[in-house]
Amino acid sequence: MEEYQRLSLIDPQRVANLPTPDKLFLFLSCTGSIEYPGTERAVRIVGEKLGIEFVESVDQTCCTGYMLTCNAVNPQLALASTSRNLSIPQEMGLDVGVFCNGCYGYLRELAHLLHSNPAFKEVGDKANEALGREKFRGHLKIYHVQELWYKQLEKLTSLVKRPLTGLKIAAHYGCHYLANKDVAIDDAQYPTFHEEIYKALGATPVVYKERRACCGYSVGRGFTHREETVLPHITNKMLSAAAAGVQLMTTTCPGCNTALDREQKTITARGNAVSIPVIDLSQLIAFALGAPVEQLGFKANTTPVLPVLERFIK
Amino acid sequence: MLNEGVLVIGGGVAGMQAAIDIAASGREVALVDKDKSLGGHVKEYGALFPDLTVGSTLVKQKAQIIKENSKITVMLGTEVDKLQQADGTIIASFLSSGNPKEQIFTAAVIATGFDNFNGKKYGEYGYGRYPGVITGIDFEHQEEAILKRPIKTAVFIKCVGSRDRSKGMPYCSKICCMYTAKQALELKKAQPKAQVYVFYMDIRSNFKNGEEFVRGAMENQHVKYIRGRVGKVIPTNGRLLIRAEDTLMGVPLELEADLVVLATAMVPSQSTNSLVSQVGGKLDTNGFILPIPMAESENPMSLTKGIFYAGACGFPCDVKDALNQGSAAAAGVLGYLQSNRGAAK
Repeated sequence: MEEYQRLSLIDPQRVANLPTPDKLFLFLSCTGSIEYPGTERAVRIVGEKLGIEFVESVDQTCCTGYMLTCNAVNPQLALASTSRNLSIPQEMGLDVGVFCNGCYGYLRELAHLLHSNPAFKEVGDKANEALGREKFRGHLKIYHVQELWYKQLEKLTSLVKRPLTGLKIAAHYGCHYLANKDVAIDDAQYPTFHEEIYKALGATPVVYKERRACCGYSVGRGFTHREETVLPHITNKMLSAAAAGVQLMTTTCPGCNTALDREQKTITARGNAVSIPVIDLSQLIAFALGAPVEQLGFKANTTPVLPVLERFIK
Repeated sequence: MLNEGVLVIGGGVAGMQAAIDIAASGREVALVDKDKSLGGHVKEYGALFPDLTVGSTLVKQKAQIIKENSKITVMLGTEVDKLQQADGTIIASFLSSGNPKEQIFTAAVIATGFDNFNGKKYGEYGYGRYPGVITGIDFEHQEEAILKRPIKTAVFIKCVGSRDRSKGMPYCSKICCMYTAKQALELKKAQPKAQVYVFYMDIRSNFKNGEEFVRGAMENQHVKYIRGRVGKVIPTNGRLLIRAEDTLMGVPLELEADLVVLATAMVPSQSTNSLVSQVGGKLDTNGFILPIPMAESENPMSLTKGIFYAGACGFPCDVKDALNQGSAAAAGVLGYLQSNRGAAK
């Protein structure tokens, strides 16, 4: 691991430019809140420990990204929804914290389109006008919580209550955060900042062969591809993690988490027994910071999580 | 002392050739380089395509001519800090081990060359991380040691930092197709049993005998050319797993290699920018010198009044072309000193 840190491609300038906010609008993830409600809770817990207050709004709707990927909605609808969704934190005077790579990527991209193309902006403005909301001005900032956690890595380290000594953890970074190459803090093809976080929590980072392979979520569980296309891909990924001795995997995207966790049942049923619990990075941090385990929602996981974490609970 | 002399900035092959040709007319030349020795990048190169002259031999031969010519003063470990034009003269400020010094010249040649693209910018290839991944430049520097390594399979990846707009590098570095073919050939000659693959986007071997050279690598030495990009290099079982696509066959492919060589691009030298802008010259969007339109300049290497350029500071070029440009710039200097400057006086 020493070697990976030394050769890190993390952009120190971008990390330095990240804020340490007191208050952020928490953009809720549909997949996150439905599939793994513990993730949202974990984000709040970590935020609280770091002095970040998250506020939400019942008015917020889906980021529309998944629907857009699958060509299930008219892009105009996505523009109008984004304009409306982002007018909510704008009215509150807050920047946005996101805990799903998908929401992050789509919000940024759609906000950019709204901000830079007058015709698109008009679509959003009309929607907000009809709903009695402010026009979206495009100046607010959108952050993924994983980068905000990394920004305060030293503080996180000092807050660890359950050092995860000896736990072999591997990262699945997902595509839609790192693909934002103009803003992401690490290299899309060889990221290492999650491994640094594991180390800070006392765990042992493990690099496995297929660490940069996609989770297959939007093609496998969506409308676009059939099981036989995506299952061999995920099987390959999870078996390579198992071969590297991975005991736990983390994600920063509920979509990835769903694919990698839920599909293990199918992978096993097709003859490749695999059992590697997959949880969100925020859940892992919250756990290491001593959060009550019943608040982290591990019961929602298909692949049991507690067997690998039990020994750290006093 | 040298106030009727000509300044040549950059002691690579282009600058050396310019100095030699200018001095041959009997004029004084100051040849300046920030490095501790002459020869720029080429002094560390092995065989150069297409006639396989060894880079260091070429540099030694040029350096010998310079040494024997009393008209050329070589100033090593010296940087040109300021360059100004005034009344038909050129005033240069030098920084040599921290001591500033000013000198007046009649004309100047900028031959500040290029830098090598940082291969680490492609995280997917793991340069700087995986011991078996090197750049084409590393190959040149450590050729002897590399050719002695036991290699079952070697993979060359072209266009690393060339023709990739996502890395802000839209241009073709021109020489990589040829040096890759040359390196593949050398490997194949040293280790005939090794499997050697070259992944390419297009083969741009448009130099004299270039096409024949590359064909020779394919047909006589059985270097395998595959059209397609390598997506990832993954260390596996002590070797390097290559994931790529063969775009002619339309299939993804995997192979294991012991050596991966990245044909990294040529990027503008850091020092070119400040010098060129100080004398009112311009750079193109990629940071190379913006040439004056052909019909508007007396000499193809003209930059501004009394100042010429040569070599890769203008655009990536091969060694032969750098020598040609050095000579062309020298002809420009001599013509300028005979006519323009005389007329101005």
